[in-house]
Amino acid sequence: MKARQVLPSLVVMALLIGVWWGLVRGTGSAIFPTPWQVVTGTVELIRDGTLWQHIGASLMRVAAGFLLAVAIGVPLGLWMGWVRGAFDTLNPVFQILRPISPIAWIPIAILWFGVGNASPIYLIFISSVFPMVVQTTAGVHTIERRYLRAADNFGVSRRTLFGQVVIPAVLPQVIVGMRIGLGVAWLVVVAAEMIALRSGLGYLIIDSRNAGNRYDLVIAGMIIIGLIGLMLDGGMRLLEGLKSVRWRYAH
Amino acid sequence: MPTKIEVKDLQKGFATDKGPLLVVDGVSFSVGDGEFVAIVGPSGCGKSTLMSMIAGFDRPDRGSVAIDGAERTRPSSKGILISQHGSVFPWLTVRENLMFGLEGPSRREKAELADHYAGIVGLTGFEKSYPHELSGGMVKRVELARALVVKPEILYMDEPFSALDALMNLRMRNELLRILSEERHTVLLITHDVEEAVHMADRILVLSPRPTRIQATFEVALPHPRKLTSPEVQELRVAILRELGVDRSEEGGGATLVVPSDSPATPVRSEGAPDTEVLIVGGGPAGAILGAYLARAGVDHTILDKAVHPRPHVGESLLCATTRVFREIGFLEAIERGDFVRKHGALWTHFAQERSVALPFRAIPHLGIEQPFSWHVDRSRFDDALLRHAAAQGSRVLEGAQVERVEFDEAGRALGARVRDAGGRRLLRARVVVDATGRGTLLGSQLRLKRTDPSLRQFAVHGWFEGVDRGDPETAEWIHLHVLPGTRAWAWQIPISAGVTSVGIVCEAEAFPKAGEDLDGFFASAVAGSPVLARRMAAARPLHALQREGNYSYSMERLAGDGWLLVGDAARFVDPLFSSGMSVAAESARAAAAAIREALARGDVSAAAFAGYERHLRAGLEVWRELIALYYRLPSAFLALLADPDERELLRQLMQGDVYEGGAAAGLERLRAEIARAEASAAAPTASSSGPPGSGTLSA
Repeated sequence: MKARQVLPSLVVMALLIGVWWGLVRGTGSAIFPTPWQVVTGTVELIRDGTLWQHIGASLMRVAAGFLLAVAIGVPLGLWMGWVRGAFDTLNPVFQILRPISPIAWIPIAILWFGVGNASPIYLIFISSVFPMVVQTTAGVHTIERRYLRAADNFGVSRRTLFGQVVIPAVLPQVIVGMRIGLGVAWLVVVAAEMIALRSGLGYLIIDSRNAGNRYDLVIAGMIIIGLIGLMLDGGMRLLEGLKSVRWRYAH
Repeated sequence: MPTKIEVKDLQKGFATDKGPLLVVDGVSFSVGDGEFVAIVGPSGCGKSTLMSMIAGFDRPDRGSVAIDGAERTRPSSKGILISQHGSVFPWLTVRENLMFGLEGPSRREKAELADHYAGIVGLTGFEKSYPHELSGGMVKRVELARALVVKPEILYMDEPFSALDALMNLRMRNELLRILSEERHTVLLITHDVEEAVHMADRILVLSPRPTRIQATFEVALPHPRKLTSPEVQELRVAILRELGVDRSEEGGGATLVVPSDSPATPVRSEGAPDTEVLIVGGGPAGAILGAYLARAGVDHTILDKAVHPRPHVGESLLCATTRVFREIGFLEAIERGDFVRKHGALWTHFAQERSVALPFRAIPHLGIEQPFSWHVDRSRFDDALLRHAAAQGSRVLEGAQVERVEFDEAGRALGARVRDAGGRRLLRARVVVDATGRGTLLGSQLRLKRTDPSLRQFAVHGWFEGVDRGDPETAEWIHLHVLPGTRAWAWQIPISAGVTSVGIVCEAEAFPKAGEDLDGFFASAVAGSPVLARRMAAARPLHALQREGNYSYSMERLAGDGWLLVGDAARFVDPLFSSGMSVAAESARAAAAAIREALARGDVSAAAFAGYERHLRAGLEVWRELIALYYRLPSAFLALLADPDERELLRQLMQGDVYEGGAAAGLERLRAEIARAEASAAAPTASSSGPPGSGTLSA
């Protein structure tokens, strides 16, 4: 049964690779690589160890920017969700900043932080903090009244109220926010690394093109970005399986 | 008894688009320490608003609430509110939920106290479970335990059990009463369920429609445990219903009278004069439906009901054609209100086949039935509602009366019934005696009319389960019939409510375990005989011990005589395979009502007057008998015919229970021919190649 689910998509992938190979052969392109050339290019990157450096650099930047966004976005979202005045004051600002593409921030990031690691980390932070704030705020707003009433009825301390009612009730929404945030972060890091820097998967792609039209490495980089993105999302999905949040997804 | 809660002149309104709306208008009452007070009122009357103010969540516009003499303005853990939708935290385990309101001692002590209370409500072993892993009834127990663990002085309960199914509701009430007998709490219960209030409360306040105020107060002086079917409880319930304006007796003309058996309401009259025109022995569906018909026709009659405890009952599925009867006696709205599961079709599976056969129901326009569905019913609740409906229509119901025998005069005419109750033995005289005693077959046994059918000696074992997988959501609420290996063996799967499913196994008596043998083991092995049923039952939990009962088909030599008639199961019982039981009860009561009216109008209640009734009923019963006999000859051939879209329409009329008005013969004839043909081809396989489609493809 599992095989029956996986099989169709494997067939489609095989077909795509087949068409790709056929087109390259048919047109006799000298620049665009065949699938096999991409494989040998990837092996080459693995052999000389540069692939791991690039992946490590990209992941480090994402981790730094994303964790910073969680550390600031979640408490901010809780505060805005709980305190009416905070929401009324800050929400309009966020609603204006949120639709701005992270790419548009690149010039300002370079101006403020130069071309070191700080720029991409800032861009990742900016892109993933908004979904987190918005989701967390919405999570607080949608806590069912009956739960807050029950907490009120038992007359519990503020600490218990937040620790055992508000935060657990919002947690599923926070996890959704984190999934969205991490997805955006991974998109942005590659774009940011294309602009400057000397490491990362984005740099690998741009550098391969500039240094001798190595399109086999360009495509290898793209595929690796896709695979890592898939794994990151899978990791976040594991969080949704936690017993204390499963109530939200169970229905 | 010192006063615990003092409610003084509470008033509350809300601003709406159409101006201010007054919801609660000057409610005052007090609740004594340790007292259980129930407040009943029509839906939307403002009960919950009232409770919200008393528990301290909302401020009244005017008036005050005092607890122990001190004014209450905020909620406190001295009084915990339990409401309909519940507020058990889904993100905490059972233990963490119970520990939530506790403070002070160490975490270990809190956990110990929590586990103790989990044990009190019967949740030992579930301390580490999350609410979504529990059933609805168990979550309600968690909520109750979480309230009790903080040792509140007052429990505020706002429709606490109304989201549960009927059986679970009753269990939770008993549970609560048991706990209250051990730990004294003051309880204020708000409910729309009068029975719930009468079952538990010391005092009942009845609210008026919006803007609500207190309209009447009833003291309930009955000791616990209270028997719900007892005359006192029923009397109180009817009185409260009347107060609520639900009881229709005032408009109907006929007096609703639920007479306690020990009251002198029916004295023995002088010889000769009947006590009642028609005496109906038995308050089951056939008796109650007949009563309702007679009440609507203004015929004086009495239903004798020997109140039995509610219990699961075979025959939980209604046929579409029967809807006509319920509509005619004005019971259809009650069925809709009763929240019974709608039955949109029947699905058959066969143990040796992958494919199932589905028969979605259709409207029956020539009977005036527009809805393409009927209902699955919890019979104890349904039968009770039906009898209460008859009473509301004007039937006189005598509860708790044991009928010893029907008395006849020298000429063989029925005189009445010899009754024994708390007041002693006496003869209740009537012009017509109707035996509606079901499988008790009072008259059938007394007059030796009963003929059992040796070819249909069946046995059933059945019960209610939680956690039954009902298969495809599309057909989850249909009746499912699973053909099992073994002679005349099959199983039913009937959804009783959102969480409860009735499952029963029927097989020939010879194959059935004797008394004392392992019933559960037999049930499990029968379930395992059908791969589909085994999958459905994989995670099922029984709600009570399995019930066994004989389902021996029988017929009666006569269905009526001088001054007497048989209706329902008392007239005939056939195998429950096609859900015919309720259909026979309803249709025989309908025909009997017409026959009795005409006989009384003509002043002739002799056997001749009921000959038409007997002919009419026999014709219908004969259809059921033959349908069942044909099915058992070759179930696979029956299913093959049902699976064929062209043939199915011929069988639809039979399957929907439309067998009393003629026209069923065509389907029966087709089935007869097809079964004979399939049997012949099974005997000589080479002959089947030229057979019609759907034949010969299946073999049992």
